[in-house]
Amino acid sequence: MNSQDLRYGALHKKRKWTVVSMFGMALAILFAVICIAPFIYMMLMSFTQSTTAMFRLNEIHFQDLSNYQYVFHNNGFFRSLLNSILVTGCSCFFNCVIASMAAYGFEKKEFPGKEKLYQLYLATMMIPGQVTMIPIFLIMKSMHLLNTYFALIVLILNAFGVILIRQFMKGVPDDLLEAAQVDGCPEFQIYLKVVLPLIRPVLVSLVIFTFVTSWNDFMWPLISTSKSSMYTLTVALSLLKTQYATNYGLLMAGSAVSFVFPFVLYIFLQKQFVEGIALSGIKG
Amino acid sequence: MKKFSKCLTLGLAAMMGGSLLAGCGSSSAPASSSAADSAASSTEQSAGTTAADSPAASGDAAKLTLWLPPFAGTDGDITDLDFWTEKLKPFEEENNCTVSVEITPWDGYEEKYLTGSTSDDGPDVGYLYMEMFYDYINNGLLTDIDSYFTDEEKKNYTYYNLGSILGGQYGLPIVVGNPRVLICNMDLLKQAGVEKVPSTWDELESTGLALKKALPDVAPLMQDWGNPHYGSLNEIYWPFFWGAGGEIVDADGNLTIDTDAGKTATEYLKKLKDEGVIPDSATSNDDTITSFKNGEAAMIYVATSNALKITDVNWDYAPIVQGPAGDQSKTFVAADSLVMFNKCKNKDLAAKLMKYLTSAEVMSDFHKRVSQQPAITADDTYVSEDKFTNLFADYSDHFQTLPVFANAAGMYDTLFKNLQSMMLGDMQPDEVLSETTDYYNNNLK
Amino acid sequence: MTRKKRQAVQGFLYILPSFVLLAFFAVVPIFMTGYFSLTDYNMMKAPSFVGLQNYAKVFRDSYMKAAAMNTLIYTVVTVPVQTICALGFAAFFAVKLQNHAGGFLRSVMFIPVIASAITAATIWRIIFATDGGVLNSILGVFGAPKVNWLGGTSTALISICIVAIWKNIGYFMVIYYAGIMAIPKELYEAATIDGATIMQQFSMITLPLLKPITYLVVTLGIIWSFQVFDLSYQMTGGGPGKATVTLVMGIYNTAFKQHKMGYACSIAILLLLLVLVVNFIENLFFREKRGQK
Repeated sequence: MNSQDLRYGALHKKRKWTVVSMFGMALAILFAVICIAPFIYMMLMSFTQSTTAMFRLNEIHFQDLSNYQYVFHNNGFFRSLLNSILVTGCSCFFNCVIASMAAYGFEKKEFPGKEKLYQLYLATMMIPGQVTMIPIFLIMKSMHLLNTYFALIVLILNAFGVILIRQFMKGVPDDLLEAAQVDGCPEFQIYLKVVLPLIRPVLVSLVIFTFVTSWNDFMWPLISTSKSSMYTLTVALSLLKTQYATNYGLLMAGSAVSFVFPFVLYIFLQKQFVEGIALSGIKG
Repeated sequence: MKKFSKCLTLGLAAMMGGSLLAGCGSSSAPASSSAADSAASSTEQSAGTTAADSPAASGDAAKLTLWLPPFAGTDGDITDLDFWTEKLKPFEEENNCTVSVEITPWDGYEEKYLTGSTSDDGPDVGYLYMEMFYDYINNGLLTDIDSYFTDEEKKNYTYYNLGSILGGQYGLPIVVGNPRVLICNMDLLKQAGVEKVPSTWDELESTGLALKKALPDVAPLMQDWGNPHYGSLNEIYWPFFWGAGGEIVDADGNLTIDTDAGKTATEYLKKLKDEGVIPDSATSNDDTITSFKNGEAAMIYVATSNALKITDVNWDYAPIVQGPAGDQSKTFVAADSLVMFNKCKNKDLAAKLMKYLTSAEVMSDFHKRVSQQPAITADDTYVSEDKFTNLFADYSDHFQTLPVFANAAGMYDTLFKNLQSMMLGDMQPDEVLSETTDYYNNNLK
Repeated sequence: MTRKKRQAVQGFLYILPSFVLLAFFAVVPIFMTGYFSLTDYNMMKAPSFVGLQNYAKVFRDSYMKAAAMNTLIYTVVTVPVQTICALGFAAFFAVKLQNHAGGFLRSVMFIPVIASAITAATIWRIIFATDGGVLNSILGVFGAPKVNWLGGTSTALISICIVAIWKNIGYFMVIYYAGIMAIPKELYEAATIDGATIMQQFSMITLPLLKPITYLVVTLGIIWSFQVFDLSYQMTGGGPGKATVTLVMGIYNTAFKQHKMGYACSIAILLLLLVLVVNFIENLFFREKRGQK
């Protein structure tokens, strides 16, 4: 008996396929097709010079990369791509470091007012980002931080990571930490060498979650960047829209550029993506 | 223990309060200083001095930030950024300065100017259209540039007066023209049995109906009501509004769209829609030029510079389609200006840059290579040989710029949205005008 | 230093970085939003205090009324549909398709999640195109008339809902699937021995045990719905008319297009209150059901 059979569902394996389950299968396949078809359409259209949304096979020329050349050269998509990668990468890294430190502090250290402070963290989760957008813009402006990577990165850090990791850290046995302490391991080393490796799964989960959020972030970059050299991909793509409203090939090339990076990452880290989101759902 | 937590909460509260004050204080500081700045410069001007500010540190390479919108099309030979970078090189060398050019896309243009001009990364010299001026002048963000120009230079600018707004010379008109005209696909018109471009509302309607009958798959008159930005009004509403003899605001800045003229124009538009002269798909169209190029639309209103980019359609145009206002009918013309922001540290250099950009040499090249527009200076001799060559000389009385008034953009946006609702059949013409007026007076003004 | 004290200091030091960030970018701004909502402020001049005037205006503002209505409709349409579909697919995969084919289909369904909303909106905007759009072409094959998807008052918002649902199902399905897989097998074994059908097992075992996850999925769904901006910004820009303006778009437009920061802040505060109220009601609902059990 392999491990798969221990899970729910193994029981039903031998049941016959009923009409209902055939119908379910058809629905699942149909929806999967709907999920992927727009992206295939996008890729194909990006190799056309079409000005109509109509899809004509004979207009596709895979050797014609002019749309891609155009968005890279004339619309600064290369710079935007680098910006997005840098911002997303830094967001993931700092979010993990800061959130795991805070979660460790909350879960494994005792200090007065701790739970009240934690309540405050929980409360901030209820605030939609747009509610604080204007004051944050004003704060950044007065600190001369608009149009900086700092401004783009810092807003991604929020209490969610802390809460997520703290849930997970409940499973880290205190004995282990005490043992390390008795061995004379310095405090920060305990966090670094003992705690962090133990919470690796949840860190992966947070990275994936932050990645999706940060890569998708639109409103804040839209507001906080006025220099084209600081645009992220979402902003650059949104600006392509009015300028070339019906240059569909170009729009699709822009979309493809913004899609390819997370997609390739997803192909390679599929398991982490799915398990990361699942874990964040169950623990968070 | 208790004490500690009390200290913590107190400290927390103090920190919040402190940063709150800091946030408010510092955000208001630049505004007040710029107001003082403008007051100072205006007194200097009244005293008759020319060079108001001394150039800051002329020894070092000075820096200027220039924001311009995009003009070049996708199929153009050169991009805006490449063009301006090339043009600015001699200027930078001559004046030992660096000019960083930022091409600000039309999408989110107003937002970018607001966020940019109130922060450090904003432009020293920028490019505003009429709808944007009011708030910037009213809040003292723009410099009155009159003192930087000699009488001779002023005389050379054909449209210098258009930059005189709300009692000061706040703009230097750079793109004047681009009147919106009706262009027709003559091949399609011929198929419908029409030989000439309509020149009155009645003819427009009858041509539309004939087209609809003869060519059911072609949109007789296409309009881009699906455009997210109200700028489309310049093509699809104001030519009708002014054809009926309407005025957007009166001399005191009160909104006067809800008048008989406004109603006539709006009802006419609704009629065209109801009759199918304007097709249903107009409400999701956001690019009439492509429809026209593809032969899907027989008639569109379009800016002249964009019309010239259409080469594979046999088209002709009507400069003015006369409405009830008869020969007083007018159409929209752009009057976009270069402006200097008050926070600019080196105003002399900025003025020099504005002069350089509008010089015959740069402009003629700009018109030749990037966007075909009428010349803006008397000494600019470059004339394009095209269908619009004589348009300006013959019809300049019929061209109208947009007025400057409080929250113009908000008004246009509301009007545009209400008109969209009308085109979808959700609102009546008189409702559109009365609701827009109410909303403007109560919420926007 | 005593052990206790040292622990307290250490604990606080660990928390400090996140605390500073949270204070500066969540707690302080909330108070600032509250303060600005009572002022007239255009970012160019110092704010001037106007009391509750902004709030009085919001309630008479036909634009904001439409925005609130659209946001509400959007929420009411997307949240149930995406929750039920996600649960349905997750259950189907858990029961019938725990193999490579299932794994593949699940991976495919997750793809829309990793594309940004702006990317998705850009593609779908073209798919929804009235003339020559893929969707209308496909419908045309079945003889259906052309639908003016993004240009019609009633269809524009629905189109945006469709894209949102399409994008969210994969995300919630993954969460549900993990939830179902975590349910102990013995429960089902016992039920099977008692002669319960699959549907009975689903409603008696799966659904009740998934309640915390459903709570999460619904909460997230509602919060995301209230924040919808990217999709309608990119697909319709709020049009036609006011058919797809949303609350957040209202905040954005009043603040950064019309230069009315104070007014925008008052809308923001109302949005926050709305989120809190809905969350409160939702908590009541879920708690009550839990009580019944």
